Amino acid sequence: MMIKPNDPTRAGSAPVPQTGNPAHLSLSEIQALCFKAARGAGHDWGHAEEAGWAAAWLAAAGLPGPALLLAWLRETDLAAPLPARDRWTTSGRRQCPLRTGVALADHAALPEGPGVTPLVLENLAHPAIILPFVARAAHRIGSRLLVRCGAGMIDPCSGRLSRTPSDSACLGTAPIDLIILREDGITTNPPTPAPHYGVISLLHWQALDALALRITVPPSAQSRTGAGAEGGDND
Amino acid sequence: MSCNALDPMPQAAAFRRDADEVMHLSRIGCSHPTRLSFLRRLLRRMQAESWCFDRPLWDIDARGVGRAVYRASGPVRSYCLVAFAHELPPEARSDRVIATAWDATFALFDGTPTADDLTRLAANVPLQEAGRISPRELSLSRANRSVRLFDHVVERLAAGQQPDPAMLRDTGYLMRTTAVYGSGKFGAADRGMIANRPELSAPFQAEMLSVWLTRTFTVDLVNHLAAARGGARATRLNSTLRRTLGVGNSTGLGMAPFLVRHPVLLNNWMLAREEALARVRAQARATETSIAAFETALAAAIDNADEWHSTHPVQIAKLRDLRDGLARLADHVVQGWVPQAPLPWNALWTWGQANLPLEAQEALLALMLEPHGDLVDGLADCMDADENRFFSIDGAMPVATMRDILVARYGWALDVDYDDPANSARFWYISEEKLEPRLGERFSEPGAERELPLDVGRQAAALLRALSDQPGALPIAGFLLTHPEHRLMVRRAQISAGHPFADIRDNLISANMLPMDLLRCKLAFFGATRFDPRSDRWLRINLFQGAPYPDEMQGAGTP
Repeated sequence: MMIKPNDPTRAGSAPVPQTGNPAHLSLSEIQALCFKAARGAGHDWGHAEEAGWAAAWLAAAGLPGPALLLAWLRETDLAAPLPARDRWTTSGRRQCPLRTGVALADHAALPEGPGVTPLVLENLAHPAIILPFVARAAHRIGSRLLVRCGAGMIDPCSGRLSRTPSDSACLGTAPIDLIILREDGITTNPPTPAPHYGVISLLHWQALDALALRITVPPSAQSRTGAGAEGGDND
Repeated sequence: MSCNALDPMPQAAAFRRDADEVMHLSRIGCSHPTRLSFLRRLLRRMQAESWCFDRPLWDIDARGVGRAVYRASGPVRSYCLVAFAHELPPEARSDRVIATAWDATFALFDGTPTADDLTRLAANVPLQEAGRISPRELSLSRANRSVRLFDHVVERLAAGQQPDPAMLRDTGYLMRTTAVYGSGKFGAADRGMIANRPELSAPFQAEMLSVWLTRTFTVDLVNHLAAARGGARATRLNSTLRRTLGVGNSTGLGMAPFLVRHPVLLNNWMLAREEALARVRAQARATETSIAAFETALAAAIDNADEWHSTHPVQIAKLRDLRDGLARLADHVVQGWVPQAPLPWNALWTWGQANLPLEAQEALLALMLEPHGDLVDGLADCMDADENRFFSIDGAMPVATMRDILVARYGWALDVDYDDPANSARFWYISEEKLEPRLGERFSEPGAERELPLDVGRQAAALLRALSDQPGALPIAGFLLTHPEHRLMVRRAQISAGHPFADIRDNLISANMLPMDLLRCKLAFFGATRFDPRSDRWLRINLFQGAPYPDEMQGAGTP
């Protein structure tokens, strides 16, 4: 959905011609946009909030956070994780990276969690979305956690990440078996990378914005009353 | 909260108010600005660091259209307010978010803008929400003239006369801002980019600086227009009258949910203020200087209450309480209070608790902080928050511990019958029309299925209910796997365990909740005066009234 400049109905950030393509969004804009879009797509408030946080984290790490989130939001058949020691499975279905990531961070310091032994996340869809949560788990347990996807190995706490050929499995959208390994003796930095801006294509922005609009309530005569000055403002 | 400034006075602990006493809408809805308010903190820092101010650009024509740049230079960095002045037909002048044009639009620039920066800003800032700014900008805002006063002032100055002081007093500002956006909005710099700068680490300092420089712009503009109109006859607004003007602000419900969505920040604001009060109450003696400063502040508060008007019934009653209470306080200070007795400030406070309405009790708090800058100003360093640190949930926490937290922190919410329509009469939502938060009537308005999760009390009660049949030793991570709908409340409760002032302890969806109480609390922390509700959902205030101007900062007395 494209809106006109000066469209009076938009107080929040929205795709506008001044934006350019691709556009640069502040991390807080990315977080708010993806939070609302995830809620608009039907996720619980709690998971929607985590989705917004993850999108901003990925963008700050140099990855296309909003695009990754949008691809995940378009999925309809992803399974919740079943945490267990050593291996999280979902009986054949692809694991939801957001729910798995959230559970992974929640289970840090628990026996089923990461860092106790190498942990396999089986058949994980959109694996890049797990990275912010691995970083958070590493912070919680005070150890470095590495993510192995095939031949590639990623340290989510290393700051900016990039798509090198060996990391492509980790950062792609195809489901993979992903392994989380602990590397002792090194305390990690807090999981939030240095703040800067994220990039988004106008098309993706519009798609996320359309989802975000689903959480809003259309106007009614009653909703407009009392929302502002009833008389003029030329006083 | 980790703040070294809190450490030096352990004896104050015995005088701290409990969160159960403080965190109710009825009390926070009586908040007054204090010397810890964000605009006071900004002025103090700039004065202490001898900031310099200049106006590198003034390119405004005789109609008042053009652009100007105001620069504030600190010891390390400088910031510039870029102002665009426009011609606005009366029919387009609206304070609401739906407006598309304003008398003036502004951005606060990080550093000094180049000609290219100004060109870029000129193409975007006047569009406000429909434009885009960049990480070089720290805020985006706009203002409309108070037409009646603005025209009167220009007319008088053009004729070589000063404006009518009574008219200045009635309105209190030449322009009012209708939105001041910061923190990453519309492409601006994220809070994280500037939070480590000492001059911007306290909350809303960039926004406050923008408004303070805007105040100077409004005065320069009337002087300029008067000179253009009156020529050699014209005079400039004198400094005494100029001081009485602030910047107005028109605001709606949009900022009310902020306090709910930022529990750590709210806690830190409250905790700093409460610690300040406790420190003053813990003073063994009152010095003559502090007594004199208190009496001066009390006299100023009485004057302020006399000049503070509202047409809203709730606020009229509050102002009556305030005036009556301040009068009683003034009598007591002369006739009853014994400042030479031990713990004199605590005695005054205790008397106030027993004899003053809430409005005047909270005013007394502000007054008692006023003579004690040395004791309390350092606490302003404790009012920011690294909220990201508290976003992560401790999944290892046993269910039994979570239940204990809920009982300890949310007792006020647990026995409410949320099936009673009166206790769930409202719902908060985002309006599709303006993307702003609004408050709806659940049983007569559509949209409740899109309710925002600001019903903290109801969520707390629901979480405790859901936990009731769970094993006490179960880690909360296991519970959240099957009950993700409680995730927000689990996090909030974990935050609340270490942050006693994180929650407003009232039902925010009840029929009798007044959103203006939330706004009053937040705006008092900003430093706003003349809180003037126009309905229970939008209001006007004044910022920086009585404060020094840039050319008065040295030798102006401590703000």
